Amino acid sequence: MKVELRGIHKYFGNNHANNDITLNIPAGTIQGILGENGAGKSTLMKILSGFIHADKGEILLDGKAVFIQSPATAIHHGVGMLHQDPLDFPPMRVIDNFMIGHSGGLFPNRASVTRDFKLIAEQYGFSLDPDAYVDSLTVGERQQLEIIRLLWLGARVLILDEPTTGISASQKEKLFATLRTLAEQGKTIIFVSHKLEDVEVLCHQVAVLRQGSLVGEAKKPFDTKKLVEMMFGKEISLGARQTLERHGSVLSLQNVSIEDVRLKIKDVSLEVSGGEVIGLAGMEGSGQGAFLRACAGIVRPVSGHVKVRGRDLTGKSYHVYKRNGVEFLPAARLEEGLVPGLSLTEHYVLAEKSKDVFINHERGLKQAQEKIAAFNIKGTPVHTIESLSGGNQQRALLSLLRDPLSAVLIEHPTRGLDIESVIYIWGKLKERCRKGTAIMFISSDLEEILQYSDRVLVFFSGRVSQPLDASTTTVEQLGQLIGGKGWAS
Amino acid sequence: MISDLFSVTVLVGILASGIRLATPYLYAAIGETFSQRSGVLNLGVEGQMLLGAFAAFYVTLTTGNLWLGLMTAMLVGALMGLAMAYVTVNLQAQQGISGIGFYLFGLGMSDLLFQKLMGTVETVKGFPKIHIPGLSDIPGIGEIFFSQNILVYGAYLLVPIAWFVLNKTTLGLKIRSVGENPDAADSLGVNVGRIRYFTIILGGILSGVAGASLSIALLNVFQQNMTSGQGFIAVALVYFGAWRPTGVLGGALLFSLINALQLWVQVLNIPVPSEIAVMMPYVLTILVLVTSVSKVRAPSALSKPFEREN
Repeated sequence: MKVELRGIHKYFGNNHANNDITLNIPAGTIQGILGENGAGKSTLMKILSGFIHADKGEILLDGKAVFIQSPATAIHHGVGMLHQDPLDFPPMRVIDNFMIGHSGGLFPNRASVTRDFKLIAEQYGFSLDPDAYVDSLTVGERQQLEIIRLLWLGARVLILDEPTTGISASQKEKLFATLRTLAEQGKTIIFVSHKLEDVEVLCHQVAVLRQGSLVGEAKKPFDTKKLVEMMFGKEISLGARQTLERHGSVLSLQNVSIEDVRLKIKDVSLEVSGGEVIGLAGMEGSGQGAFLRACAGIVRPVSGHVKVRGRDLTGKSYHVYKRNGVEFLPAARLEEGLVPGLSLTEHYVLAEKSKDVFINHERGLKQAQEKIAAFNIKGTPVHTIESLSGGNQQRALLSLLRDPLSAVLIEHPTRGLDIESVIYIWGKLKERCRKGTAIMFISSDLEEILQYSDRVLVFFSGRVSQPLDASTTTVEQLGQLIGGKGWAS
Repeated sequence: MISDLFSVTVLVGILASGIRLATPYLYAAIGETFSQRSGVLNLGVEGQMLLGAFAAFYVTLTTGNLWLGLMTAMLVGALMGLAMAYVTVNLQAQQGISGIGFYLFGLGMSDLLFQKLMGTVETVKGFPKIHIPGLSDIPGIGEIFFSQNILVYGAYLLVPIAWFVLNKTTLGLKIRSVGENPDAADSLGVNVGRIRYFTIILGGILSGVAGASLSIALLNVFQQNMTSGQGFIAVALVYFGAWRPTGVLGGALLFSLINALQLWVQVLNIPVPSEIAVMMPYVLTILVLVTSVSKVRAPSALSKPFEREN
């Protein structure tokens, strides 16, 4: 089925998640949708599959304009979506999962449905036991179940959102083979991913989204360099790079391994000196979050040692790390770092750890005024923290850091901030470095990583690269590594 | 004396009243099972039972027609369910709190109506025992199982019916899918709101019948707060029964037997303080719930309002 999207707009509050997106996908095509996290890929696909409605724009299926009111309408029109987290019913049997949504009278005809199921499964070479419980299946098998179900419900357009996350290599092969077969039968496949390699291998044509806009399209064969450039873009210059004087080792990791539900990070060793900035790059969920938390004692490594200024703090809690001068600033500022409802003054009073029984308002107010001036926060001491803009919240968070510190670990220090705030915040952070503090940060902005780091670690599905020298690495090289290309296997 | 308990007559009496007393628990808890399987925690059961009990009793008292009384109780339960469904599905309220609100409404309203319309405790002639030729005459067994009234039989018949509907019909499949993952069910074209309306109203109707079974089949009186927590125990029984009608049956029987025992202990003047005896079923509720940490998971979407993102 031919799919056309015309001038799709979608706002979430002030966030323009989809900005005038127009896309034509002929029948029998495997269309890749590339982009970073938050580029607007999922929003666009949810609009096409009826989970959300576009604020403006048209959807045409086989040349006919349609209004896709709900996911059920979408499947009625032949559009089915496979979600990253499978939308299924884990405590039920495969066959029950399969039957829900099928309007089959008062009593489901189990026998005939089972026959259909086996037929379709066989056709695509899937071996699923209809009587198995879904929670005993692997992610790949649950995907297969959903594909069979969508096909059975009459899907002629299949949207797959990051389908290669969490499945084995052989399951990926099988999935790709199935998708190619389906395309040959005239079905339209939309493959949403941030994995360059997968897209290049599988897709006939690719559309790249960045910050809600369609920034470019390409057809097979693809030029990797150009795709990377489209995905990550070129930003305004952030000023000259600066490397500061080193102050001896402050943070030392020895053969650290971390295990998470999805990921395993093995044997990472790293020495970080005072005054040094380490950037952690990688698609969200590639392991950098767990790694950063392990450096702060929030995630416990399964093996290896973490030392702060020579003291072995392995297995100790975040409080012990804090006492030793390590602070962690999470990405979710309002959820984890600040207290909504409290004013700036109250935050400083809290951070001071005063032993007074009563709140010393005068001292708090004075401190707040000083910090507001020093950190150029746009707000007054009585403003509640959530009434400030994101940039000012981040400044407030930085102003709450104690002085001096051995290391500051930051998740997305400038995400969602305007360029002025970005430059200001890095100015403040570099001031810290000058005093001998080491900084380690996660960012999805590759320009930021290369601009402000001395060394860069790249994460991909739990694998960690050797430290790269930021001054000699390019955005292209970094982009390829993040997308899973150029790793020695 | 304690030994009085072990005569044949007394044991038969305890078992017969145990079977009978399970009736309100069964109706209310089976109804609650339906709503919980669709992801709705209805804590208003007690209030629905009280209003049902009053409606059934008052209509029977004034018209002399037991069936009309029963139907009024069902209607009142359905209306309470409809209100609960609106609050839960359309307004997406916190179910724990709104349920308590409905309980208090039922408690206050039934009391108010009782004061205004009746004023004093009266009695009616409830549903009579049904004599089944042959079966009812079997010594012991006959008295325990085959000389009960129609609502008692109805309650036990409800168990296999509920099991069948939940597990063997398309409707049951939809109910389970909505309670497990409403987003997925919605994406497959199941109307989440409509299913929840259905189960909540069904729960209301069954709670109404539970109340009626007390006021016009078992006790044949109406008093303020006459359910005295049975609706809440019914909610607990759903957890105890692991969201399965058969499990609910086991739980209901266990409770009513303990309750019957407790009643007979008082009747026979056995020297146990009556407060302790009356407390037993409730203490048991807590003990059973604490110790029967079952491996069965609750419906994943239980008590979570459903809203399509946009």
